[in-house]
Amino acid sequence: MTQLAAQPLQRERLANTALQSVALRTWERSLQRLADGYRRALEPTAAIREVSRAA
Amino acid sequence: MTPPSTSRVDLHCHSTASAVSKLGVQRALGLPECATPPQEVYDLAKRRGMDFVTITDHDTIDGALYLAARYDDAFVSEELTARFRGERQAVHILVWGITPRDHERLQALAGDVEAVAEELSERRIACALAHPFYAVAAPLLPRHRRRLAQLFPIWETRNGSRARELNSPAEVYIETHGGTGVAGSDDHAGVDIGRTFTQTTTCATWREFLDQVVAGDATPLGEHGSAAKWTHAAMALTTRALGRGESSGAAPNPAAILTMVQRLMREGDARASHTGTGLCSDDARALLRAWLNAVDLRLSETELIELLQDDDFSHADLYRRAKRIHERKLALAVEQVAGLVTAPDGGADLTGAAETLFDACVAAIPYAPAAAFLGRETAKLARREGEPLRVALVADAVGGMHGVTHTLDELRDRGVPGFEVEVVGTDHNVDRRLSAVAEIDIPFSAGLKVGVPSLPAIVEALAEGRYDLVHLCSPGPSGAAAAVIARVMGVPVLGSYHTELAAYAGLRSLDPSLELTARMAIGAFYGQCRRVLSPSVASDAVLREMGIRDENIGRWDRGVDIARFSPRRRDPNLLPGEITVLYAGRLTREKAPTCSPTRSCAHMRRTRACTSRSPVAAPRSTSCASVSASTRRSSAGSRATPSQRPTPAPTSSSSPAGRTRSGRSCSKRKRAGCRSWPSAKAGRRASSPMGPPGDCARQTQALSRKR
Repeated sequence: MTQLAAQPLQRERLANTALQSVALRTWERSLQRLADGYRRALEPTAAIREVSRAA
Repeated sequence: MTPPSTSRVDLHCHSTASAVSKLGVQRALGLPECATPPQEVYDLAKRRGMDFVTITDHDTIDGALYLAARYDDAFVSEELTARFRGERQAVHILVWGITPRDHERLQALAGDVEAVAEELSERRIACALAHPFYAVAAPLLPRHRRRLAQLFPIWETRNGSRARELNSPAEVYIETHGGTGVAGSDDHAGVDIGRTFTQTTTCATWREFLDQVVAGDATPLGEHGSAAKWTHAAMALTTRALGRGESSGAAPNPAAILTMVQRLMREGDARASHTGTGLCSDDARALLRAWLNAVDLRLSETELIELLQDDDFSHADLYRRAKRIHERKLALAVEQVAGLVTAPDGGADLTGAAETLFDACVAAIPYAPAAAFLGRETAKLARREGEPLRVALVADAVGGMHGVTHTLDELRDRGVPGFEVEVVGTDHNVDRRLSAVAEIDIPFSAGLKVGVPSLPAIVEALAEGRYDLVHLCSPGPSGAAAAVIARVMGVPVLGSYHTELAAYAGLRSLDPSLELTARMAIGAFYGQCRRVLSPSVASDAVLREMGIRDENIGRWDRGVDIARFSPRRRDPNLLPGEITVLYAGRLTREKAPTCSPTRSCAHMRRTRACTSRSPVAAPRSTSCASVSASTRRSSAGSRATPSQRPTPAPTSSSSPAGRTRSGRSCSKRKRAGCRSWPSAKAGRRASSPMGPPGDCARQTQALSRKR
């Protein structure tokens, strides 16, 4: 932090990188990931349903 | 008493002649189908005011023949299992007033429900479709039901062992499409015979009664079923079949009870499973005995049956009594367990705590599978094709302010694509609230409380919610209870890892053994999840250390509201000529291992600290004192003392949002002066350049010298 405080250029670079990075971390994306997790957890159940439907 | 101008018959009940166990519930427990002798069926029916008596055993008439040979007001009937020819669907048909020859002929035709219906019609045998919406074998499709409605004009619209919500579709169907509704107790335990019955105008003989039924002059009356009724029937059947055992017998084995309940849920509605040979009848006896003790009923086998048969007995009242006792005991047990964890001598005894909690639950345990089973049966009636899958997100202590609360707020506001998520918990800000029997302080977290739900509350919530998936958000009381119930109900479970609770426990208690115990408990909690979602690589490692397999770990990192936290909102005139450092997060020991808020305040005499809803709107003249005040809701707050323990791995990375009232401080130093304002989100460990608390002063001095 001390170094950063003394180096405006580095601060600027870090801020820009952080902004680019955070742009990908939206809540929409987070909740999409949660939905993917739900689907993965349900996969075995869905497979069992398919098997019993076929039977 | 039967009104003088009417006649009553319980048109559906069983006796010991139903020797072969066909019902899944009985098979799962290794019990016979029914253990009531025909004579007792007759006596109980007459005592309850039935004018005529019959027995409808599964595909046998032996019990009914016994009565018909002795009493003029008894007649022979059976509950016939008939299949749709060449299909997996089957139905139960109540056939009344038959001869042994009729029985043989019907049994011979049982493989074809169409042929059975034709035979019944030709021979003018009174009959009805029993529990029409209950899947005897494979679930009935609409075309099966349409055909059954054509074949059988009389339906059992009130089955005394099925809850009102399960009987209701048949009742509505008959009301809408025409036909006759009848009722019977469907008693298998010799408890509820005659409590549900069919009534006609006065009849001199049972033949006349059946003629009235066929003519449609009949009314279904009496009790519907309930989870409590199922439970008490199972107890009565266990008592009759196995006895209650020695009063000084062994205590119930929790693992065996869980197996029993799981088997009940898995095979309770199956028709072709093996009997519960793996289960020891001693387990069922032990649970029954423990339950009787728990609800303070010191009764022998005979006395228990007499109690359940008593005319003043109410299933609902006994259930309420058991529930009240459970809630009271659970509240006390939770207090004891919480005391164990925070005891000065430390070393929480996990086994002892689990036993205490199990004992407190014994009064309610027998009702849990019945309630869950009822929920599942009800769910089968609700067709949900094309609807989003339902998720119960079970969360503890989300009434306060922390990252999980904020995440759940976002989740509820924005929704999860393709899923319908309901937040379940004891706090006020949930979708489905569980009543709490106690609210306890979270150990070592002053000011943070967690509600403890009763067992029936969580069972009913999960059963009624008809969820496809249970998402466990925290290993608290609601989460732990939901994990067990979901397992019992066969609902898949997913966990999400948010907080380094074990490390926090160690940091706050300064007791390594407690940290280890907490780690084991949390590992066991997440170990039962099909998948565990982790917010970071560091948390992945923690989960792996707790024994969670790599392939079961998935990523769920939190979002950032980039519209709210945007450089566009920066106000360059707010703190002109200064370099401002913002710390966003709670001020607790685990977030600031090297410099507590108190120390920070002392150390940073020349800084200005403030709290605000938004960094860009920070007031200019707040003091350090306001920092402490603003964090009263946070866990350790200003009580925190310095520690040299490693900081837990970073977990959630949610950004502070105004409405969550996150404690936020910003400090400002002339030039590049601020060094010790910590940020837990940086995930520093012991090797942090910030060093231990004592270093703060040294660093400041060094800095001053440098300047």
